[in-house]
Amino acid sequence: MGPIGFSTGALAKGDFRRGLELQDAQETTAVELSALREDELQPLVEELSSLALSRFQYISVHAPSRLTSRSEDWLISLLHRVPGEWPIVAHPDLIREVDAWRTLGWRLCLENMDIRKPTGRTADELDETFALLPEAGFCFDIGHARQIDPTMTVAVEMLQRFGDRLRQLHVSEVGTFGEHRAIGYLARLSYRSVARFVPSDVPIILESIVPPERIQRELELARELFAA
Amino acid sequence: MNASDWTAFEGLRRQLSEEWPNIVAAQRRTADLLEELKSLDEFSSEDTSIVFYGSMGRGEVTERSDADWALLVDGPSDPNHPRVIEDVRQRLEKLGLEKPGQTETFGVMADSHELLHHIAGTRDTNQNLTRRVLLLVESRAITQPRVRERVLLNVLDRYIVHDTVAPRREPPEDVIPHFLLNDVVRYWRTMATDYAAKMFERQGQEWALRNLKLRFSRKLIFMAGLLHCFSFQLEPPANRKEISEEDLPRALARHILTRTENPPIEVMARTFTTLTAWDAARGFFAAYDQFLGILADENKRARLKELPLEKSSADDPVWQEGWDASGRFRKATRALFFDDPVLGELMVRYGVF
Repeated sequence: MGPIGFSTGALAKGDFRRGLELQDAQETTAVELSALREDELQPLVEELSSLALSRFQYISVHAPSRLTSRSEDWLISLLHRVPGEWPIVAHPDLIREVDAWRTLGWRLCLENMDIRKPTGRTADELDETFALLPEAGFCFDIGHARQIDPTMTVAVEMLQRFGDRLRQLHVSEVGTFGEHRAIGYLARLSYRSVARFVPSDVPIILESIVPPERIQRELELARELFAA
Repeated sequence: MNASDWTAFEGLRRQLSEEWPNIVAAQRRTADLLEELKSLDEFSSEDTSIVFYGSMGRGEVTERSDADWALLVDGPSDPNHPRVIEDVRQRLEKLGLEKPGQTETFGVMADSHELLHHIAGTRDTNQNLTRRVLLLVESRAITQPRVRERVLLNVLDRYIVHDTVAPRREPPEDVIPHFLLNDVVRYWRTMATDYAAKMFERQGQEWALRNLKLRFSRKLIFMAGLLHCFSFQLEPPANRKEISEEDLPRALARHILTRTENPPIEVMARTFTTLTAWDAARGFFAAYDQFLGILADENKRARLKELPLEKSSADDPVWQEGWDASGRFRKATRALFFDDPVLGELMVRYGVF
């Protein structure tokens, strides 16, 4: 089984230190440092060197989901300050200045989107963005895929088409309004049906928004679902 | 169910210095079974709720076989819904609970869309009416209680807030949810006519047990439903005077929602207490206690199940016991609903026509 852990954003929104602290007791081996909101990225980047991250086998950073007052050039220049071996997860609908994003090369991971977004929700839609950014990797969000299609046909298609680009998984249950929540039984049944398409060593990042006492249970469920 | 579910009933029991041991035993059995059913949490998903009806929903379990339940779905369709139902069914079998009856009203999926959007009219089936009224009067969510509550809020909203009311010059004298009341009455008559239909289809099979259930527990559901509808008049909220005419429907829906948290026995106890109808309360609960005693007695229950539908069965001692108790139950019910000036007036004005 590959490294597993939580997104700091799921556990503590913009408070990445708290998001790390909450995982200490569980000895997680992967983490996604989340800066989903535009104003969260700079403080994160500036404090990276002071964070205790040595125990993690896998670390990634999630870029803001949208920009309201800043430019993509500003965003990319900040992202270049993130350590070179860490993947950077981004939403396809954020990408306008393609040339700027190309400079991130293989580190950029495009995430499949949920029903609220205008693109990136299916394999065909993601194909369009991968055509512009051929080196980019893939962050497969299984909850988003299920929200788009509970039969998981869309999920399988994405995994089969972009399997060789797969860098990490996002795992949670996603509700009708795009909210991330603990993995319920129906979601588990759906996820079990596609687990065999996921290589066993792919890092798993949990995005379930759960209270601290539920963290361990979510980790156990994810391990159970994706154990080889 | 815990002690707080039975506050009014316990208060009444102490006030009248009565035991009503079979009712109390049934409540305990229900609490024990609910404890076991916590394992169903494994099958929990947001947007679905495993809901129990029947004696479990009323808090009156007399034998372990009672398991009328449904997977209440209030969210997107999922091809795995039938799988969840089967998994729950298997778990209940392992716990020694029997499958629900033959009508396919229970042990299946109950879709909130139908409950909400098919109220009366040509698309409201017998099953849908049953599931909806029982959800209001005798249901208990084992998983995701907020889903059940959300569906109830929607249903009450439909019955009350979205009811088309003829314009009037003055506000109404009484605050009554007419649409809901009519559906509760319709459901009572449906239960009675369904009994007749089933007796014909099944050639009188289990007539005695079904007959007693109609006279007692089905009638209890009807009474509790009626009292929900009259609750705003009988026990108005503390802030009644501050509620504007425009806000009244929503306040009424909310008021009734809080009452649906109480099992029917508790609703009755509360009403007897509010109306200080002590003699009627004694007669009512003594008779109902006797009924539950018959159901809890394996031999009596089995005897009633096998009793042939013929004239000589009228003299059967177990049947006679139930029949006599139902007479006392009817008398106490009539006293409660018609002897009290306020409730009696509501019954005549709204319950009959």
